[in-house]
Amino acid sequence: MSLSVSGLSFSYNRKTVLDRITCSFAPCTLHALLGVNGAGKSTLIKLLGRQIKPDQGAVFLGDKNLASLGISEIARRIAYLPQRHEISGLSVADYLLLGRRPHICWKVCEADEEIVLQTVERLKIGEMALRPVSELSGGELQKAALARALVQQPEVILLDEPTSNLDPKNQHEVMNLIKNEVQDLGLTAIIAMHDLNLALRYASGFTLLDGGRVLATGGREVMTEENLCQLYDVGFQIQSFGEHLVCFPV
Amino acid sequence: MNQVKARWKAYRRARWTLLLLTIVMMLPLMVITLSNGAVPVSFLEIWRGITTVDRDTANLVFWQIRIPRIAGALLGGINLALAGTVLQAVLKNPLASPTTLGISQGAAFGAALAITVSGINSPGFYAQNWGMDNGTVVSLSAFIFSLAPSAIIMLMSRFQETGRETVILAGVALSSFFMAGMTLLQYFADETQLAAIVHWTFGDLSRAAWPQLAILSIVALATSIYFTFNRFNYNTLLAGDDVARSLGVNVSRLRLTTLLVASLATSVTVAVFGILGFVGLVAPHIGRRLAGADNRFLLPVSAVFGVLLLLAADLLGRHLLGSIALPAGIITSFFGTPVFLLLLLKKGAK
Repeated sequence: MSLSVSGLSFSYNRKTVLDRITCSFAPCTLHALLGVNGAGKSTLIKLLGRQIKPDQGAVFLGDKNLASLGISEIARRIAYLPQRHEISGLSVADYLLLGRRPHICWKVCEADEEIVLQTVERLKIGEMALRPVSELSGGELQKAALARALVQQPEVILLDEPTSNLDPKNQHEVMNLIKNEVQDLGLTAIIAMHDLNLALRYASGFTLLDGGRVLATGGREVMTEENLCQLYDVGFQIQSFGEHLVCFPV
Repeated sequence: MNQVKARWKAYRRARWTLLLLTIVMMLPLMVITLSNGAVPVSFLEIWRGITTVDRDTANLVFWQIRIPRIAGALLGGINLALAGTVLQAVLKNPLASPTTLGISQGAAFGAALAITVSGINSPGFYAQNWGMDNGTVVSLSAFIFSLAPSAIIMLMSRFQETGRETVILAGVALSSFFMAGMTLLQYFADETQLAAIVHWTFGDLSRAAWPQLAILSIVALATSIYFTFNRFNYNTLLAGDDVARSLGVNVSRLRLTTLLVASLATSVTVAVFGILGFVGLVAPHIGRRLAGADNRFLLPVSAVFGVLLLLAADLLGRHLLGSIALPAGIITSFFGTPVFLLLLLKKGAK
């Protein structure tokens, strides 16, 4: 399902965070949202999931304005992973079951548990299924949070810096999991991130946010040295390395 | 997958077994409470009391004193423990309880106000108060004032987004306010009124009669249904407010309605029995240590421990000083502190 925003503005304490931005995110694609700290990436992620309401403009899921959808309807269609995960004494399996909340009326049924078990199997996290969330490592916690979002069976998944604080191995494992889900389930994933090389490796859509405005949006063609230089205020060089593009500051 | 499924099922079965065991633990304590007191009642007489409607002394003691006491412990324990558990869940603060939020202090102030200002003990009291007796007026005033902290917090939420810190801080401020008000009333009270105020603050299970218990049971049933209906919503809060919101939970509304419903459960309990300190704080902590964080199990296990704590406090109060029966409220406050500290120490060691 595609997601698009039109004339979206948001201010916090009278400071404009996003200023009339318009862009769209194609369906069944992994999109990277790039920009410096404070560029408005997390705010845009929250607006896309209607965690917060815009001052102006609208977010469209397909052709439906999110403002016209109920909170449960949105929860059934859009999943959200925050930057930091709160830990609790819940077992991972019970934590994953939370993802069924938008689909549950009064009682958890066998079908909900089956979806949890299938996700555990698909993501190969059976080993930690009965461990408390509070005892997971950073990488495991990120995978559990991703699994919880997938249990929600959404059409769109919004992730706020899912690879921050992870070692390279875990970064690639998490990004691979997301990419596989996008390919296998036809999900639309929008990820706020800082690692340009991870973005170049896994994403096929890019939106560059600069001071609350969209600098460029599109496919790989927007990832130019000029755009990155303007975005981060530092020189960048992009080179081909096998089939991948690699960029580094100069 | 089958292996994970089997382990998950076994994990849940263990928690259901734990819940059943805690319920079974209540039964012997109930029977002991029934048989103990100023007039000893044998187990045979307890059985006769249940099965017959004789009007002899043992039967009257059984139906008019002992059973209401047990029912009081049952309903009061459930109300206070569930209120404490859900308040800790929505405010994400292990120290949240009816006392922390000023509900109990509000009730104490209301009772003190009724005792000192409305002319209690004065000859024309009955006529002045629409035919209501002293106890009813005091309870009613306690109930109204115990709802005040929640009402003020709800009012604040109309002007500003109510975060969990705001609620806790507002509760602490309101507690201090009501305690200051109570001290002022005590300063101006005469000796009889002062004694009445002090006596009221000791929560006592023997105050409950059948009409109050009927009200208490309706409130306990209604609030328990509300909390049980939201058990999964409370679980989503464990993953953070943002995640809960993304799962379709209206977090602000859940927080405020839970606060109101928990206040109602506590208010009615405190209005009937007086202050039964620490039950709403300690029972959820014991429950959490045994049943874990999952509110689907934590809520019933905490409720059972609320009942167990009140039954044990009542029993202990009647035997600790021989012929002098201490109210359960003194025992829960007195022993609640070391029990709570012990739980904290064990948590730290873990």
